[in-house]
Amino acid sequence: MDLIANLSLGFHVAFTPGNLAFAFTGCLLGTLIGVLPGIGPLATISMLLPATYALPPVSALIMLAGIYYGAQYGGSTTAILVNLPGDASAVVTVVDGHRMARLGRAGPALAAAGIGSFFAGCVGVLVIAAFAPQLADVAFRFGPAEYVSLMVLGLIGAVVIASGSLLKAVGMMLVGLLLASIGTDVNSGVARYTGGIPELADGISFIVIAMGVFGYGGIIGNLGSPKSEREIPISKVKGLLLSWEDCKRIVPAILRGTAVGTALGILPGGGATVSSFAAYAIEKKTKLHDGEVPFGEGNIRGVAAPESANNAASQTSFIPLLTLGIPPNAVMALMVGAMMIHNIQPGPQVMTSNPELFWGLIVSMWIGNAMLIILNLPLIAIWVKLLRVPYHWLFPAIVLFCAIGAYSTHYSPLGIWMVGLFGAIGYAFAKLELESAPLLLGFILGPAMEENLRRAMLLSRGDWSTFVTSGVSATFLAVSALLVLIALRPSVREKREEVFLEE
Amino acid sequence: MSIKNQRDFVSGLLFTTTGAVFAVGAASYSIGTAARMGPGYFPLVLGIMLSALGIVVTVRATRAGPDEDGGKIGAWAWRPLLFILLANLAFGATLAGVPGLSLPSLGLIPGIYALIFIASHAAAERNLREVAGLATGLSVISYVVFVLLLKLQLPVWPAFFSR
Amino acid sequence: MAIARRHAIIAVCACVMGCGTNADVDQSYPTRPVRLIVGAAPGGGSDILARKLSPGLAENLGQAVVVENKPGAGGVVGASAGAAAAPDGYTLTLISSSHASNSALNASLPYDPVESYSPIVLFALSPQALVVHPDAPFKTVDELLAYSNANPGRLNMGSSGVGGIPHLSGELLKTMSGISFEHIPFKGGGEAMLALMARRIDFLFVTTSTARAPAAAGQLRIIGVASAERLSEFPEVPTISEAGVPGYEASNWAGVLAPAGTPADVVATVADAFLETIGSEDVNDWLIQEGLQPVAIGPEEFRGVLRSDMAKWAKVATDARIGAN
Repeated sequence: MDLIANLSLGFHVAFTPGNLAFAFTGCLLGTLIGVLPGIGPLATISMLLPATYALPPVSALIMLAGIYYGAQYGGSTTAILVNLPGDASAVVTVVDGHRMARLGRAGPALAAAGIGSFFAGCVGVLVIAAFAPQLADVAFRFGPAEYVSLMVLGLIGAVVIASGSLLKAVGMMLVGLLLASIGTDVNSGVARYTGGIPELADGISFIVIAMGVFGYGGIIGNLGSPKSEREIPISKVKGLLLSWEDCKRIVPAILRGTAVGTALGILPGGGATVSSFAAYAIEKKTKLHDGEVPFGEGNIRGVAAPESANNAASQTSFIPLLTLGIPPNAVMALMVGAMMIHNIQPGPQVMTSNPELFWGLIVSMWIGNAMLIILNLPLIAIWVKLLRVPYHWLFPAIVLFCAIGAYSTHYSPLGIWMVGLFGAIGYAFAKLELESAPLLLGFILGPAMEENLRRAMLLSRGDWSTFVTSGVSATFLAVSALLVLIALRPSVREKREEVFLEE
Repeated sequence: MSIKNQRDFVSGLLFTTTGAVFAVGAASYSIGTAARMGPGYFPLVLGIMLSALGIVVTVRATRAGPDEDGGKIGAWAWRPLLFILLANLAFGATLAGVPGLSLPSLGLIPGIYALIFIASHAAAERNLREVAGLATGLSVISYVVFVLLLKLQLPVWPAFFSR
Repeated sequence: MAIARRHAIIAVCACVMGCGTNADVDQSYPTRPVRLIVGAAPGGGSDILARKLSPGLAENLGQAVVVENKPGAGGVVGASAGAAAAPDGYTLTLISSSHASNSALNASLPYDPVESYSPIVLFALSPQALVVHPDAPFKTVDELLAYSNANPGRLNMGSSGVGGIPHLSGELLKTMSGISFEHIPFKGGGEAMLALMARRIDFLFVTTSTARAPAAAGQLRIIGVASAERLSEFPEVPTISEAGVPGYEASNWAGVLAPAGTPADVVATVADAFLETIGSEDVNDWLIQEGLQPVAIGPEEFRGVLRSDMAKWAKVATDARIGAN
């Protein structure tokens, strides 16, 4: 019963009125900044980090956790309401979430995202509290070859979740991988495809592509369609909360999403990003109930599962940090920064040398999650009002906010113009029925995939069998192959064509 | 040979061209061997794969039975496309200036007015007074949120004003 | 270098005092947040350093100091972003000694390692450690070399990236001792260390600050330090030079640069802020605890260090025939 003793120690440290106020402030600020296009969790935390310097360590970390969850949820909010994913993990939320908003069901979509995130967050926190030391080992099992295979699986999954032509989805994935190779090559330092433009040395920013393809591309497409289709009739904005039917649907989806996210989040690098895509792919493979809306057309499970997975992964991605002292992603690195500033060296020794802080941190993550739902369920009513803004006011505002967000990534007009360029490209994609989700996943996984592929081949001295001699890697590849076979099976293909025709 | 699916045909051509551009570009970097891949290896292989896939998609588009709508691309929404892109271009140029064209930075507020007025032409119908009101409202909001609260480094007014 | 350092401290102190009045006159800098670019992945040595320094810097500059990670290509990505920024003191680049070695490896750098910048101050020396897995069949430098001779082509050396000091330190070891290995670059020291803990690679050069915690936790073993003398922090660990490779030394340092053409008074203000920050008891203790030796090498002297290091690493790169692309 160490767990209970430890958690109560954590509550003792973290659960003070002052800390709750910090958690609330962090969540509120994070949500409000997170809904601005182009400003994702990373940018939000780095903007607000200095504000936490003066606080005592536990309060600072609680506030940062609040900001992190708030910003992430803010990104999902814009994904659902205005078709703009705030960060990589919200890309799949756009697919069914925005569709739901257009059907007048933005309220249930936001509620499903919030409840799913909260539940997944609770499970994630419990997993960390109970198993963190044992799970540290998992990171060791993942070498370059295993990562490459995991990413192959992720990419195949992205192709399978695409609803249109399989070949075109594969093509889009390859385009994404190629776009990701723009910028400085990590293994050699050579600037590839930059044309000598310094802004391109870091590669194209994900947020620029997402804002262009989804934001601008969507607006151009909308304005090109008849007025009746583009406005969401006010009368259709019905029911802010979940119906009994919705609840029955989302419970299993949340459970599956949480399981996937918890498992993938433990892997440093790549894991958390793949989790929302993986959860969506799994959901899509389950049977539709009678009378249920198909995926891609506003299915609530398509929001609940990836949002749960994403939040569970955000929690368990703390494990490599807490057990090995190695931050698995840029957001965690900022958390490390916050800890170092307070003279805390994250790593295996924190748990024993500073148990108040360690368990305080664990409990503060849970408080952050709880605060998120307390804050955001009432906010849903306000967000949904945003949909009542007439479209001819809304679209110039989105065009503007995306442009400002893009400028803030490099403080160069090139960023703004790139959004415009990707807007035109995104519109062309839509006209050609080319899906953007596989492209974005390819783009996100591209750099890590190339680096690990090259590393794996160096380690194996050029022997490709390294990908099948490791059990973990071989399993991933076998599952990928199986997915391809399933997708190619005539019956599934027919179904795919059906979906294709319905659109 | 006739095109049975226009969308797929064009998509295939797009893939082939994109793949070829990247593959040709990759050839100018060192390729290396499987054991020691150079910076050109990965994009070269992917570029070739994409090109090949594009050819398959194109060829299938000439064979596959017609889609419900014959795979027609349909009319392009030239008006929104043009004005959204123009608004975007104008905002960047106004906000930061274009040294190459000796265009000075005019700052955020003039940029917002330019963007909103141009973007409003993307919709078929508009009301000039409403547009002016929207631009003013968004200027105030942007100034408060991005400049005062978030402290983004945005030039607010024309550079020659603040001197 | 030790003597030069002492002179430099005096020189910098004099300069800081002299320029101090100048800086007081110019009240305009800084009026907005200052970006501090770090060319390392989050969690790497210089990243942690930047984050430790930034609150003190912010206090001394009177403006927020925002740390920005621009990892990749052994610091080239960060350094080129730093060189391309406006020379107004609002974009500073925290560099380590790899800045001097990058030119040796990459003929087409988008900047000149010396001329594209106004050096501000070299403020810390950071010795490197040669680390192996605790269960590895070699527990000393000698045993590592013997293993390499007995099993040619078997060893894998990880690094934080191509052309970084940890990579070059390995190549220097190769030319001086004849050890053979395959070099596996990672994205930052953190990833490489994880690979070492998982025994995917056999040995690695890292800064002592990054090796310290995992070594204490028994996750890796330090078999040698790359400094000229033993470190007070690890008195029982021999230098690589005394452990079998006489004359071996590969030092790492940290300094800060501004883009070329930054006004002298801004440079002085920043140098002042850095020296004041590392001089504060809190930061000073932290630096020493992390295995970093605080020093103060001013702009001109710093330029000299850059030039001499560039020449040294260029020779290693030519000897080992490494070069990006």
